[in-house]
Amino acid sequence: MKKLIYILIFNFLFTYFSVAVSADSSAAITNTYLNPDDIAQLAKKVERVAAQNQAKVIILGRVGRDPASLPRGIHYTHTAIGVYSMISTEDGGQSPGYAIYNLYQDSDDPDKSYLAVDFPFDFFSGVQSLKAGIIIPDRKLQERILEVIINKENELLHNPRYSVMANPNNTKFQNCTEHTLDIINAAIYQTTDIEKLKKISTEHFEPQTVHISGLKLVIGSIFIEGATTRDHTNGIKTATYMTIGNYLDKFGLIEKRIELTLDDV
Amino acid sequence: MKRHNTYLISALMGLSLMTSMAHAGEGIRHSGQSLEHSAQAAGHLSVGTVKTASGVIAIPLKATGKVGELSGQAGDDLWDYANEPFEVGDEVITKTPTPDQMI
Repeated sequence: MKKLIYILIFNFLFTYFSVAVSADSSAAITNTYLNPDDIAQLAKKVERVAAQNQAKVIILGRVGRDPASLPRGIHYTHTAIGVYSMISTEDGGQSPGYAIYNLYQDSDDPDKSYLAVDFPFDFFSGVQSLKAGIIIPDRKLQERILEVIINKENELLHNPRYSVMANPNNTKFQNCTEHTLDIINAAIYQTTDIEKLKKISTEHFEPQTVHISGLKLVIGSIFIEGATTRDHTNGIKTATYMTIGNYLDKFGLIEKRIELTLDDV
Repeated sequence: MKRHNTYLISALMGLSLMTSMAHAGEGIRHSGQSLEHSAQAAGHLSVGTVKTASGVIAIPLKATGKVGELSGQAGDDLWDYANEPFEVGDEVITKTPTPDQMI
C-alpha cells in the first residue's frame, strides 16, 4: 500500500513538473548557435546605429536563450553598457567603435560574477535570436554614465555575489542588469553610496515580476547555483533591460529606444 | 525500501525542477560563456577582418578633459564632430584571440 502511495505521489510530481517544464518552453534547451557571419553583421549594425545617433553611451540588451523559453515579461537575458571608444588592436592599429562594460556570471563558480570589457561581436556571440535592444540615454545622462565609467566607479558598484534573480532593491546579490541600474543611478544621483542607491531604486524603479511558482523557486534555489531567492520577500522582482528602459522613459531620460534585428535596414 | 523510494522521488523532483528553473533562470541568466563562444565564432567568420583587441584595449573617447589626454588628438577629433555620425571601423573586434591566431 505504501509502495502504491509513493508511486502515485511520484506520478503526480513528475506530471506536474513535466507540464511546468513544457509550459515554460516549447523548445528544449539547445546549444545550436547562430551563424557567426550573421552575429558579426548584427554587432556591426548595432555599432553603426549607435554611431549614427552620435551616442557616446548606449545600454544594450541581448537574447541569450530561446525566446520561447523566456518567462513572461522577460525579453532580453543580458544587459550591459556600451561606450564609444578608440580600440587598440594587436596589430598596432586603432579602430573606433563601442566597448561593452559587462558583469558576467562566473561559469566556474556560478554564485560569483566578474566585470569584463568586451566588444559587440563578443557580446552577441552565443545569442539565440538575432535581435538587439539599444537604449540611447539622453545626452546629459550619457555624459554622466561616461564619467562613472571613466572614473572606474562601476567597479566600486560591483557586488560579486551573484544571483540570476537578484533583487535590485537590496545589496545581498547582484546580476548584470542590477549592476547596470546601479551605474545609471550612480550617474544620475552622482553617488556611489550603495545604500543610497538602493533607497533610490526602491522609491523610483519598477522591477519586473518573475512569474515562476513558489515551490519551484524554493527547491530550485537549493539545487541551482547562482539562482538563490534569499534576497526576496513577497514575490520575485528583478531588474531587466525592459524595466530599465521603462524607468528612464518615465523620467524623460531617453533619447531613443531601438529594437534591432538583422533584417532592419 | 521506503527510504529508497523517498530518495528516488526527491531526486526526480529535483531533476525536474532543475530543468524547469534552468529554463526560467536562463531566461534571465547572464551567460558567462560569451567570450568562449566568440572565440569559436570568430574562427568561423567568413566576412570582414577580425582583429583582436590588445593591452589597454579601449579608451572612451573625449567626454571630459580627463580623457582627452588619454585618447590623443585622433580621438578628440572623432569626438568633436558633434553633428555628424561617429565613425565606426569595419573590422570585427574581439577580445579573445581566434583559434587560427593562436597557432
